[in-house]
Amino acid sequence: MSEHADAEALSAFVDGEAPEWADHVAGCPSCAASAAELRAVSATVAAAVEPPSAAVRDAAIAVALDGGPARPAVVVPMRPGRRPVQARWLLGAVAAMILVVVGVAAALGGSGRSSGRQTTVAGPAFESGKAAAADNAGPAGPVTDLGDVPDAATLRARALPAVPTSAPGPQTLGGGRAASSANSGASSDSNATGGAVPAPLPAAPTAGVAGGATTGNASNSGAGGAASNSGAASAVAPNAVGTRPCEEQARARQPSLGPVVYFATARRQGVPAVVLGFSGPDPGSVTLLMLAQDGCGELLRSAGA
Amino acid sequence: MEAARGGDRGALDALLRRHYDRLYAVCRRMTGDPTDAADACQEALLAIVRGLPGFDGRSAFATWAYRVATNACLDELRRRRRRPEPGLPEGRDEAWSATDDTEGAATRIDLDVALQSLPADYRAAVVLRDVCGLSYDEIAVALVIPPGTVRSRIARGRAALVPLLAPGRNQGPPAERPTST
Repeated sequence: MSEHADAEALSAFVDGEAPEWADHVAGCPSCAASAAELRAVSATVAAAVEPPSAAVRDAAIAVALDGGPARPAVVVPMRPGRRPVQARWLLGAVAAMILVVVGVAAALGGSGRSSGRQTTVAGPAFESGKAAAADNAGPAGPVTDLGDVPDAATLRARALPAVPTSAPGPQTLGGGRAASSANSGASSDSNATGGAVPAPLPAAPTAGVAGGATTGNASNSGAGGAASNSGAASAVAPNAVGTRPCEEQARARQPSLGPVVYFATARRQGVPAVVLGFSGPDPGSVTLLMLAQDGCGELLRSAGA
Repeated sequence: MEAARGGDRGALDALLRRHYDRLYAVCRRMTGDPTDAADACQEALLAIVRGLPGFDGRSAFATWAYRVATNACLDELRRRRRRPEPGLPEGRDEAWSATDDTEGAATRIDLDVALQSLPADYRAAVVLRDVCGLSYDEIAVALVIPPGTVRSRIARGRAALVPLLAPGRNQGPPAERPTST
């Protein structure tokens, strides 16, 4: 072969798919140089990808296993103009709704108790139904999923419209620790970049297909569009009774937090999370905490009026 | 594999764990963004679990799974095009302007940008070849295209990447070489 290898032949040769060009490339400096460049590009693309954290991997696998073929398709109509929720959150939302119903049943059954101070919302999806039934005498309503929340500014933009404007003031515990995370009249985001503009909620696609691989035998069942009512009523009335691990841990870290006035689910970089809105610590302000469902670690914080 | 196809949760869990990193790598290279990659990988896992009972075994599981992941990525990219971007992905704006960034980070960003500049079809072929090490025939099965098209897409994709990734080059010889149609 005296002719130079064309681009396809050389690329295929680099991949071992055109061995007939080996002799020519070996004796042709031009083709050898081009082949070396293609190998360099191939090696760059093949460079190791840093895998996500074990928590992200475990959560993804758990959701996939729970959303397997035995689970029936569930389609929830989307509200126009709202962000579509992906399949994995649909499952959590359904579970949360079930817990809400349990909570309502408990309330109607006269099992409500009042502690007078702390507030716990309808149990999030990751909590056991038993615990929810035992502790929830609180209000029930649709649980909002805020979708993927990349930063504190976005968290605030999506959550605040649903937070009651008449949020109770701060609670004062015996220790009387001063609030320090909020600036009166201003927002304080632990993770937001300065001047970041919150992402507007995109229009929902017309078809209820939120994703799911489109292979011949991988259907979109269960992956269809779902409601994400970021502005929906998920505010929590104060004085509901009960405690939840993440709320307790948040209070342990910051005792000056007031009652929970808002609850939603969300995720950050694939990590399932709950969003709790605490009134205070300043009057009229709300502290939003995004906590990992697994372990209640703090992912995002936004505090302010 | 048979246990997983039969719905054995433990077997499914092990199967997904064995392939997760490579599937994520495909998604990462396809989408160019860690968050989008995690989303796409999640969708791929769901699709794999749902589709596994119908997996006929005519191709290797990995090849089929890469196909599912590639399609999930294309779906994710379509979704991304539909929704307005709130801004650069977290940290990317800093990375773009940083002068003291590590060489590794700069390379990653350059690679992301370069790959995203390719048509998705070319990118998929290049990624399945270079990241997954699939043969042209396997890529043809995964993407449901003829092997000749695989060869062409990989060659054209690489030809476009050379001037973007090869050090010290602005024009690459592959572009100057004749290309088969």
